[in-house]
Amino acid sequence: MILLATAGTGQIVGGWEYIIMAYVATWVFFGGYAISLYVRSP
Amino acid sequence: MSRLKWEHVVGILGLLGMIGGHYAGLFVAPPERMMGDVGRIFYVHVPVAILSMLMFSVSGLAAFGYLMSGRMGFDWLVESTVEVGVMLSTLLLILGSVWARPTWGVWWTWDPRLITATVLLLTFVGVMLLRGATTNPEKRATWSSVATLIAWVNVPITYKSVQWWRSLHQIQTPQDAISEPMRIVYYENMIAMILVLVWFVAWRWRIAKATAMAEAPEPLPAEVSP
Repeated sequence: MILLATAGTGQIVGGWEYIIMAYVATWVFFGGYAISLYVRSP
Repeated sequence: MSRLKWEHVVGILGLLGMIGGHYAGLFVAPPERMMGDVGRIFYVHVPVAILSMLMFSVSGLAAFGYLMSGRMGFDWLVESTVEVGVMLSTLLLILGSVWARPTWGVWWTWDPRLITATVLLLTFVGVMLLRGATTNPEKRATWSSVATLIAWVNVPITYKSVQWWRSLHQIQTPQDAISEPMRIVYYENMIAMILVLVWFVAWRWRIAKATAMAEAPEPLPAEVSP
């Protein structure tokens, strides 16, 4: 019963390496694309 | 000294907004009830997902505009929005994969949302490749407009895929189901990213225009009367 009562109420702990990976990937893509536009600008 | 173009001002505002929004997403917003801190990926993943579909929808409208009017400005808009959309879609798949690992336990699974999103990316990569297949500007504009409209059909399918088929990916979260502190950070990131994308599209549009002007043949010399 205790097990059933707690099922679905847990929370993922940690995972900061994935969070950092996601935010860094966003900046790499946006920064990289801005650089590519700068290089191609007439 | 050349005048600073409006899109660069918009872009700088967007970048500043993204810095603030990402700081808030990482350190200010509360952890998500089930996912804990991993839920902070929401503030980059969801804006990128929505805006990539929106970007391809603008491509579709521009393609339709070109086919109706023949104006090259629409073709340059197709070129710019497809390229920005492909960049966003690629990032979206990477962000989704990074989020899937701690929440689903896998980097990738053959889920309807993941499959339709990947097909969407590949079809628009096809549009970009098609544009490189001819040097004739009118043929290029016509072919790529038709291909863009065909590729666009997958946008609503991708959006609805989580509702139509059994999917690991959650369905769209209603805005009122998100707590206010999280919703404010989400909106901040969404607005900042919109500004940055307006910057990218306007800048890329100018490059497409300049390239087209450089490719245009020299006008014939005026006839000289004896």
